[in-house]
Amino acid sequence: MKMRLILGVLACVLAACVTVNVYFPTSAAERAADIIVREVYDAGEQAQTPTSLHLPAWRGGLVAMLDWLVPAAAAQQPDINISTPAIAALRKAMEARHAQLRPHYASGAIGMQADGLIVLRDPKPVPLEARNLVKKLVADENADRNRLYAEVAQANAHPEWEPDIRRIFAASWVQNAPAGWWYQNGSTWSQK
Amino acid sequence: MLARADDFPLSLAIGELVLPGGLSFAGLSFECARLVIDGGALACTEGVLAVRASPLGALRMPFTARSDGRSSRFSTPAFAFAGGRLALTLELDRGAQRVRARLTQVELPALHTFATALLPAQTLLAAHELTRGTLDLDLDCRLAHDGGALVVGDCAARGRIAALDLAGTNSAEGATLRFDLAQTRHGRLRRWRGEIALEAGALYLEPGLELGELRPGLLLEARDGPIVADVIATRDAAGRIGIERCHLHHPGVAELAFDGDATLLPAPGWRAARLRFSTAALARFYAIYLQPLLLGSSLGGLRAAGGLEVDLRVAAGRIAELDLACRDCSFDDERGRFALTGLEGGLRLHAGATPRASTLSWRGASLYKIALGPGRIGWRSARGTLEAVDWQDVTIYDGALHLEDMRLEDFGSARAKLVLAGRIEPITLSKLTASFGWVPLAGRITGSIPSLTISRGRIGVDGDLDIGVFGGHIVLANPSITEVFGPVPLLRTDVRVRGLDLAQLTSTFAFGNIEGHLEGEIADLRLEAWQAVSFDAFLATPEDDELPHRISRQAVDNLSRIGAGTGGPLASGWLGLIPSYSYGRLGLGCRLANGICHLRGVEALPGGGFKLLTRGGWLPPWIEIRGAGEQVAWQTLLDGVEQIAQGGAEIEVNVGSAGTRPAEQAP
Repeated sequence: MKMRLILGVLACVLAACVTVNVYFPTSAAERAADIIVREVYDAGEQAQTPTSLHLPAWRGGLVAMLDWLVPAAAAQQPDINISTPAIAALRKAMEARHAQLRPHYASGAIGMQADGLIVLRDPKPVPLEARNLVKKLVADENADRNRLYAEVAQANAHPEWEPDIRRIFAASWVQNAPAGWWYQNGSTWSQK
Repeated sequence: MLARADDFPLSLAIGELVLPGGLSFAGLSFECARLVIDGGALACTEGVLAVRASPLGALRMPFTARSDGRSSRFSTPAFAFAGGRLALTLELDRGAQRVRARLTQVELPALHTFATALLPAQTLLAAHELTRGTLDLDLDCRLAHDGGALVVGDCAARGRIAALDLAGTNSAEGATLRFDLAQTRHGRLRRWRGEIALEAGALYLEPGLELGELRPGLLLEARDGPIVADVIATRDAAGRIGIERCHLHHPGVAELAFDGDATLLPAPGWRAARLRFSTAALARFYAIYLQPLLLGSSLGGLRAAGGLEVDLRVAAGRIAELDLACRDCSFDDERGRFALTGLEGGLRLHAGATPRASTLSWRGASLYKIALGPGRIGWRSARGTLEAVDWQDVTIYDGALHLEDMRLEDFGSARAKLVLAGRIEPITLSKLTASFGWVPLAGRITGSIPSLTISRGRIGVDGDLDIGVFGGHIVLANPSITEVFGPVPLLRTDVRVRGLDLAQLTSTFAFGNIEGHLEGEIADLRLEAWQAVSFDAFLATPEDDELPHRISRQAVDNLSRIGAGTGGPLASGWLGLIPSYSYGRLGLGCRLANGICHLRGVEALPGGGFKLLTRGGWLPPWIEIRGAGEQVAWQTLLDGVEQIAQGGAEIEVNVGSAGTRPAEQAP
């Protein structure tokens, strides 16, 4: 009898003990990173490829009407939100800057680091009159990237995801880069 | 020991000499045709030191050497060395050692290769490629003992580097440099004095400053004549490098004179100093000297023009006095955030007790996209504060900015802040909104600024910022903006809306006319990059509104598109013939979080949903608008409202699933 009681109490305790694990949504984060990275690398092409990760921009007509209602189920989908004003502003700034950075990636002056940032790895290909500008571009880009990784984590209510977001972005910057650009591979530099 | 002078030949040979680090000299030979030993004296004439293979190629160095026990001397006539000529003298006299060398047209790439191999630990050498350049040098140095090490003591070096091409962190392109340098040593303190002139070509130099992640450099080009720097610097036992004097003559750009006590490394700073510079070419001066130091700040991307003179005095590490004199100066932010044109006059900041007066005027200015007119400010400065004592109102379109207080406090310190108070005289809203490319708004705007503080990239208002618009007031309670000029400015405030005249407001848009007042609150408003990210708002007509409540058919249609499932409910039937209707209350609430707006109206419906507009008036027809949906994506709502405001009647916006009750007929 006593044993039954103990087992019963134990069963109740176990039944009441529910562990909820929130896992980092790796594949969603990878898709989100790819979208942002591709838009930065080539905003024009990506703007024509809307995805479910975007809240709608202006679409007009009946399409917009259908977007008005946000179904509760959709709002609960495990996904990565990259649509906050702060993220939008950072993306816009990075896209605008990329046209100036691109030739310096291609020349090998700028390399992609494993921490999701970039660095002026070899100043020699940069004309003297452009040196400070490139340094500023690199510093501004890194400031925006640091902010972006934190904002994406914050926008998804998990600031602790920042290192994972950064790691995924670091891979995406390299994977989506054209051939010939330099990236950090361990402690050495490799050319894609 | 030999009792008299004897001479005989001496020949020594070494197959290979390898120095630490792997530097190899092969086939060394030491030959002395006449070695004379006389008592304690020793002399070698007609000597030759030869190396068959070395990083400098084959070397053959004739020499003479003598030593009498107290002093020794080794000297060479000029011999072929690294593509040029080298003459060398080494002297040792009672423990004092002296080196003199004359290099003529020596090829610097060969020297660089040799130095890189000799000093493999000096990564700076290896990180640079030196592909061209010659060196002429007269060197006269004394060596001294510092502890157990032999170090360079007093030393003088003068000469010329020609056609230098260097690639790396520091770079040169066709640079020709003349230099006259001297070092004096007092114990472990070294003092350098030198004049360096860039006579041709270009140099990019990193002085070693670090601004966060940035290591800025100076790009110097001798376009209009030699750039001459006259410098006195010191290095103490702890490795701190200080500057006592730096006078710079940069033709066509600036004259700069620094005298004082400043630290360059490890961290820049100054204790007492006077810095003066004048430039008639502010654009070039900014690009060369100021921009590198401002790269990480919001002033790092300016287009500058005009002429500027500055006289700065620093005492005890703080700015004691600063005189600025502008001659038609202009500053235009490359990102379009601000601009100031036609600056004339001066600005005098003084930390002492005696007031200094100055006057500064400008022809035009802009802040973001708001154009400001000309202005003039009379200043008075004392005790670390600069305050405006005479102010000419600055026009903003057809209105004006009137200042009642403007002060810069604690200038030159980390606590520096700018304090403003004043008011905005009525500005026609259509002009203001047009400059932002927004939907033109009707009416006029006024403003009251109680006490606005700008400090460290943050704007804060101590009190309420009162904006008069649409016949009422929008009050921002204790607003603050951080990272004002950063990529994501953040604004936080609570907003109170009082007495807005809906007739004025709706006449602005193609929304349709509504009569009545609008009031409410927007609590915890948070804007990022000027976009709303969260708030809890409710705006409605007041219950005791004194104005009549009428709403046009078009406005009902548009409201129903916001609040219901079907658009244009009054487009058909006899109700469509009536141009306007009475209503009871009108209101909409939105709690924005995570991009989703949670809606509410003036009345909740028992089965869910809400009323956006309630019936009113004594006689039919009566209407009410109901919303059934309670969530809408904020961006979609904005897009829809924008299109309605622009008159896009074809768009139907729908937040609910149940739809609007068109006109509910009274029985």
